[in-house]
Amino acid sequence: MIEILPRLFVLSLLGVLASAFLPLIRSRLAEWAAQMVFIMSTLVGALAGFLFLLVGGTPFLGIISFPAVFSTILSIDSLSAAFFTLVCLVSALCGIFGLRYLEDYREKYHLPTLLAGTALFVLGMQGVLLAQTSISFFFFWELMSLSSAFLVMAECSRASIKAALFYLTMTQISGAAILGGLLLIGDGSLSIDFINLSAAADLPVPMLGLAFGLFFFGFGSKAGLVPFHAWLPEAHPQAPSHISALMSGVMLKVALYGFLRFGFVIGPFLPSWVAYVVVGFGLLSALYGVLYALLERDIKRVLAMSSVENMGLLFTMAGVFFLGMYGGNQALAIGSLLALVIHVWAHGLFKAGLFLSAGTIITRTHSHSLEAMGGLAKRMPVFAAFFLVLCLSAAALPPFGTFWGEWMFLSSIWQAILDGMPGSIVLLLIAIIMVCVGGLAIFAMVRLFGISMLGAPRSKEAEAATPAGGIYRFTMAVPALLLVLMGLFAPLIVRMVFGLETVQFVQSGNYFFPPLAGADTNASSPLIVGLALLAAILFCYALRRLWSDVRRERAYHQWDCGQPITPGMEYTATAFSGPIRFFFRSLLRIRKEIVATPMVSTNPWMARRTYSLQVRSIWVEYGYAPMEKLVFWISKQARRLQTGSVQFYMFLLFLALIVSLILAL
Amino acid sequence: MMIIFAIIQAFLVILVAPFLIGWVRLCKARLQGRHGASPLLPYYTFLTLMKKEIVFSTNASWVFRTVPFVVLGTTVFAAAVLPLLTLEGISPLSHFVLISGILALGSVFLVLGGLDSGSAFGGMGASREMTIAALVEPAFFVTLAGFGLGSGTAMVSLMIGNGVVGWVVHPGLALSLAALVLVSLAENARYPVDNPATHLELTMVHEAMILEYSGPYLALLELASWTKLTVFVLLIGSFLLPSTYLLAGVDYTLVGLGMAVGALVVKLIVLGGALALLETSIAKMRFFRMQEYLAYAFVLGVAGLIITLIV
Repeated sequence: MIEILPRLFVLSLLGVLASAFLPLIRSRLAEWAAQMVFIMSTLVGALAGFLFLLVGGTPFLGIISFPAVFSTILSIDSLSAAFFTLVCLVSALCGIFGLRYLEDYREKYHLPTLLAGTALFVLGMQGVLLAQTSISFFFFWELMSLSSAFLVMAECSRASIKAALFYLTMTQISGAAILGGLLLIGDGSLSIDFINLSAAADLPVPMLGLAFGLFFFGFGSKAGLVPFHAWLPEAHPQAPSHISALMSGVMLKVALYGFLRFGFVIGPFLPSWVAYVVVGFGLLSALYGVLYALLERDIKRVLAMSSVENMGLLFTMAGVFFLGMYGGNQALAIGSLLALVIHVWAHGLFKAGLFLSAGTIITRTHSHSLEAMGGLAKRMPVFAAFFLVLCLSAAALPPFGTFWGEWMFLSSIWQAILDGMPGSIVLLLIAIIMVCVGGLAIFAMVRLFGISMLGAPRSKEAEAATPAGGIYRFTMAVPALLLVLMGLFAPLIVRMVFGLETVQFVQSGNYFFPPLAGADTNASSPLIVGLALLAAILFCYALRRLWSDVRRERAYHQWDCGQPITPGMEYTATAFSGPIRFFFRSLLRIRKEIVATPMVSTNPWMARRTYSLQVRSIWVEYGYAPMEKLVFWISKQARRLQTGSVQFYMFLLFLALIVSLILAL
Repeated sequence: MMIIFAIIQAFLVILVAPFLIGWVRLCKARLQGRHGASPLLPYYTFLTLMKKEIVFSTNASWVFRTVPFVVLGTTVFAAAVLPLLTLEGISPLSHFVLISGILALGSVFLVLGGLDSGSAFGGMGASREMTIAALVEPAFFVTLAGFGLGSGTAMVSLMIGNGVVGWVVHPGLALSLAALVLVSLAENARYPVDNPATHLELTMVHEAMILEYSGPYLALLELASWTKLTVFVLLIGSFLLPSTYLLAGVDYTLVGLGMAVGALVVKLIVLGGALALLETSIAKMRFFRMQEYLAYAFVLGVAGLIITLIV
């Protein structure tokens, strides 16, 4: 069993690679074949990752090795397998979605480049997760970053190119930071095997701290942590929907994986306040992300900001893991790590599902704006049901998968407080902020579902919407069902993925990591909660069926106070978030303008009013915009060097040579 | 055995819920100088509504039809697992994070029902209810966390079982109790957050959402809101004076059960009267001052929590 696993991984990688080059043959058949190969090989990857977790017992498995040069280039362990399976699964879903979606938008996108880009992007993510040396890690990391930047500009519109360039800039800065970190811990070498990373402990603490800072910035900005997140709500909505699903659903997780991978190694040698920094950034991102998620009106921007929130929660969980480690509280560390992995899976599934559904909705309404939707639940009932499951999962409500992750996290914090762990007040604050974020996330997701699906259609296109069948429905059904299953069998999954005695999370010895004994996954079985809830709801249904006459009902227009009522009178997405905007007005940057122009000059009361609302971001206003100005100023100064005379350039070259010689000697 | 008692408890709570609401209305009427209707009127209201015809908005989708069942279902779940009649409830299911999640699920569906008819009223109520629900969530969490910390558990049933009179042992919990009262008023759309008596006031929240419901669906939604109020009233009663049914809950005999039911009714009558007095003596707050109210609740809860943690 375990012998064929490496071959399966290789097969998956080769398949994805092949599907990147198949579209070069310019024919429809080749495009189709590329998509099929892509789907098959990602499915094989998911299967391989799953089997690896299922078999257990082998903490570490080499996949490709060249004994002459490096010991191992690609390998897998439990941590990367958990991420790898998710990446492959979501990629397969997005590939299947693309079969139909790209057919519908054949004119809009250049198919061969898009397919090749997607394949390279997924290959990059797979490679990052399997990489076993610094150089292969960085190679695949850049492959992932660059190919995704090109995918963002797939639409070739001005806005998408602008977003892609912004993204490219940010991703290169973060890539540089990661490269710096890799060089620091590898002591100047990039060919270091991750097995020997613990040798990095010999470095002086300030060096390690610097490396940790670089990794945190590099991976954090790629994961969309506030204040390095500004590219995320620009880039994610611009990409085609299934690419947004990949970027938000799994690419951010790959960044988190990178942080964990190196954080686990460097973390133990750092002072304990590092954990507070991680938690602080995490909570800031969560709070800020969720506030903007409930303000945005573009459906994909809502989802992108919700990703910022969820990545914030994940980094908070990672930070609490470190807190537990530094405080010597193993139960807290393990609990938050389990919660983290569950949340990674839940967020990967629901966010991919939501972006795919957003794509489906956009094929119907031809608009990204929530204000142009509405009434879709009546027109696409099955679609709406799956969408509701995904939204409720995103809101972390019981009985869906996400809830158990957050619950597990809160319970482990709670247990640590009850056990009287020092610094309980901080833990308490973390839990309280998490719950605040949770409440607002419910608001954001209810608004997303309620405004887009319910009520009367707010545009002609929404009114004419037809049910989305076949592939569209299938790609939503899979994540929705998986989330329901996760909601019912969470402890079982946890036990399967981290079998108590068999699998240690990371190869023992080199990483500081406890075996998972003592993780309390059995407190209350989610299955019982789910069944009890179902029983209560069925009881109410029976009450209605048995007690009242089911046939006595008729349809009529809603209460209209004697005047015809139009969709224009409905609550809009903007109005829906009005109270929250008001309550949090000191935290948000909002410019509201109401301009009244009298229709008759003699009567100021009869006026035409225009209402405009601008949602801005303090980080962009006070951080990015001045930085942009500074960069432009510097490049303007640098332009003075360009005199146009060749001799001067030669002189500069010579000077540069001298300086570098002096530095080198 | 535990399950049977939980089912009995859920039925009993549902059964007395219309009485509580009728009783509160009667007390309010008397305090305001009106004669008032019989406290049994809500039973008749419920039965009449169950017989009536349902009128659906032409905009409504299947979501509209599932709402009453989920809203009532989540309330029944809370009524079954919380320690209202027997001491334990179903203790493993009464984890306070779970309870607040389940109650939030109910609010979410109520909000969806309000939006589904496509009327401005429903949307307004939905937006307000969702705002309150989103902000009440942390307050509810810190309040129950305070009690949990006082008794060293996360299960609501054990919070009452462990600390005999929690707020006497941990004085900080008196603040948590005050926070719980504020949270309950907000969760149940009572004064000063909402006016439960009117249908046509621009300040309304809960009534605006269920405006489009009629017949048996309205009956179920009304029953759900009455049951929820009963659950919260009994919960406050249990935190206030747990000893009353510590006495009765000792043994699961018929006598014990009878005493427990008696204690429950006494609690409802006393606290229902107190609620009526409170609602008569204060005015409704403007909705856009709600953040202050919810901040009071939150700060009280946090204060109770931190005092309990430190002391």
